[in-house]
Amino acid sequence: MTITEFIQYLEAEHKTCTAQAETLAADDRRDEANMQKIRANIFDVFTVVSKTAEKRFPQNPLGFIKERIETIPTAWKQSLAAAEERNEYNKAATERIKLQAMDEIRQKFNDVARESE
Amino acid sequence: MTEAELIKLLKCLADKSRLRILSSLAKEDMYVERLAERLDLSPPTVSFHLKKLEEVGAVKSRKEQYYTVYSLCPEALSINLTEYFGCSGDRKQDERDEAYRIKVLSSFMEYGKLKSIPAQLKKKNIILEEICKAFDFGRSYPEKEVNLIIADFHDDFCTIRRDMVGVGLLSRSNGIYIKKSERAT
Repeated sequence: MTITEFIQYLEAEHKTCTAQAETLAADDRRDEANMQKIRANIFDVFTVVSKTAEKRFPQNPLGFIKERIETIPTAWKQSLAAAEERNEYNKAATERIKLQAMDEIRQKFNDVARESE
Repeated sequence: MTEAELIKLLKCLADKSRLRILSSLAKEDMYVERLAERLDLSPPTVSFHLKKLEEVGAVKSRKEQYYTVYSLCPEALSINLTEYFGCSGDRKQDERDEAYRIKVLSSFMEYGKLKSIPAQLKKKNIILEEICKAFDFGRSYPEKEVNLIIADFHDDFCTIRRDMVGVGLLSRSNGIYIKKSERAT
């Protein structure tokens, strides 16, 4: 998988989550719709990161993306721990959704990195 | 149930997944994974919904061996909305009246003594009703005793005594006073 295909994957996931959010909202499942919006946002963030990497580091975009994959979720993990400690289940659910999306992106990225070696 | 509690409950129930969870629990108590399987939702999503339902008292949980089992709280969902809307107007008015009463009392009374007799009738009636609490129903009070009781609140016991009779809190006959009501007319 190339960086271009990785970006296409991210964009496709973003589109899927956005469409699911609309469907869920129309089905009176507003909280689940919001969960999909949160997921969509994470895929969007990494689409921007990947496109930036492609533009700024055309020789080695993967290094830049890998660094972002490691650093960006740090704050979410801290936020999750704090929310669980304070029994703020809404906040905790949001952070878990972000981290779950992050895990999926990381898995896909690792496939990309392996293939490019 | 207060207005705020009702709004919170109705907002929580305004979700299809949560209604389906409640329908499932109406049939039998269940743990998260069972609900997730039945409703084709992920366990974290089910847990999220159950937390929301638990917050408004619609469901409760208990530990059974390794599982947390959820059950419906029928009493929380038994609210009669028609009855609520019929009473809520009165309830709101009662709350407003009570708040006004407290405000008047704190403005005009200090350490159980009346600072001054209000000129406004509505406020004066609140004060007179408060003083009237010092009297017992079913007891006859000679005028001297009435004066002493009222003087505890304010020196102008004559005016207050006359006003209490005037608004129907006390009745007077041959110099004997009886408490008639706790509400001024």
